[in-house]
Amino acid sequence: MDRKIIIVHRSEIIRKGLAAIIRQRYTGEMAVLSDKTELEEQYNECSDTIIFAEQRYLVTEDFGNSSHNPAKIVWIPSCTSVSSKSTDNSLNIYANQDDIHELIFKLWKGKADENRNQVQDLSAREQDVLKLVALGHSNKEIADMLYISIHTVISHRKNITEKLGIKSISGLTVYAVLNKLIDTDNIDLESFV
Amino acid sequence: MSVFTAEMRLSSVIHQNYLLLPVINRFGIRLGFRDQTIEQVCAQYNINTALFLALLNTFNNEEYFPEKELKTFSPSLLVDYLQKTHTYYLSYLVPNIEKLLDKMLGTDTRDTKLKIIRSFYSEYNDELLAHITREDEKVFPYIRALQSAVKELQPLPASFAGYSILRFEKEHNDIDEKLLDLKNIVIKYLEPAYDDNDCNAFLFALFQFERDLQDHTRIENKILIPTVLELEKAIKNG
Repeated sequence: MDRKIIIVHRSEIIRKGLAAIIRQRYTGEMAVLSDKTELEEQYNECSDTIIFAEQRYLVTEDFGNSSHNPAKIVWIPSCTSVSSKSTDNSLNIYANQDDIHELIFKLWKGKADENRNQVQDLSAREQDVLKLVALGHSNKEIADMLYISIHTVISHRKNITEKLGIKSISGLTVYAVLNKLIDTDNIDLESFV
Repeated sequence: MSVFTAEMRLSSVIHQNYLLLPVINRFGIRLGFRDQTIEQVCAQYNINTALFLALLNTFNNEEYFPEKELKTFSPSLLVDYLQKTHTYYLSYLVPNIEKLLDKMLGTDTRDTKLKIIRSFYSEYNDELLAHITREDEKVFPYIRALQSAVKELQPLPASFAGYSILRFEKEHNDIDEKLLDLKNIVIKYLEPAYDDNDCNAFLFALFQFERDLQDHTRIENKILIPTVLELEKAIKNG
């Protein structure tokens, strides 16, 4: 995942000041915008994006409806509003450069932790199939439950085995439990495998 | 990789591949053989030198597998070797792996994740032991009986009537599969709560077992089973 930082603020002083501070440590892609209409072309769902946005000038709706990979928004108070403490989603304009670097680090670290806990080895569909395999369903049952053909189920299972390096059903079950694909509270583990 | 020959010193063979130590044990050979050649050690222990070399080289080198030559050996000699191998697995290697696994997983039985790895291993272990026991108690005696029946031109004892060797090849595949699964689960998907050294010790033992088992299975599938099929044909044809 590429990273991107976008700054949108009508004040040139704030835009350039913030950009300069961020540039001390960050070497990735950055867009500095004075006009919110330019946001749409700059905001790219293929990257992990942090947007420093002027409060009141922009509103949440400006960021579109991207549930897949939403950007992290940090609100910068506009020049006429009262300054407040920096939180994870607002910037205190009296913050020093270390505060700003730390904020960015925290925002992206959060993303990295999220990703690590996800099962990225398999696609969402493959995870669906794996869950049902581990719960003991036959290929026919899985096909019915997921509204796909048996052929597709078999194909998914082949891919799963190839990606994970695990072939047996009990092995796949162990994987599913270890990666939290199956809720272990309601099952008896000893007899499960 | 070199092929071992009868004039080579047994000590240099061990230096080249220490994993052959259990293999020579199966022939009853003990250490302290000084500078004796393989020929001399085999003479001392009354071992068929050609068979010894064939099995040594087969184990040492994956590319080395002289099928024709191996099929010329008496099936009961092969069975003796395979049975000794089973003893090694059952009385030492497998219990050792289990001990190392338990050490690695620790005694905290509340952790569900570790419990499930243990369950998976137990299931594998049960399958393996059942297979080995079946071979020792049914298959190997059958092969010996078959061989002597053909040799003495006698009919096969009634207890073995209708028996066939082919089912065992499939069982080998299932067991191999689970062992590979276990390796991948531990190497790729284990979570942080374990000790590095304990885990490595377990994996080392598992890898060693896998290597030995692969050699063992290769001999059973590629040599023993075809030889027995020939014997079965001979009996059928009178």
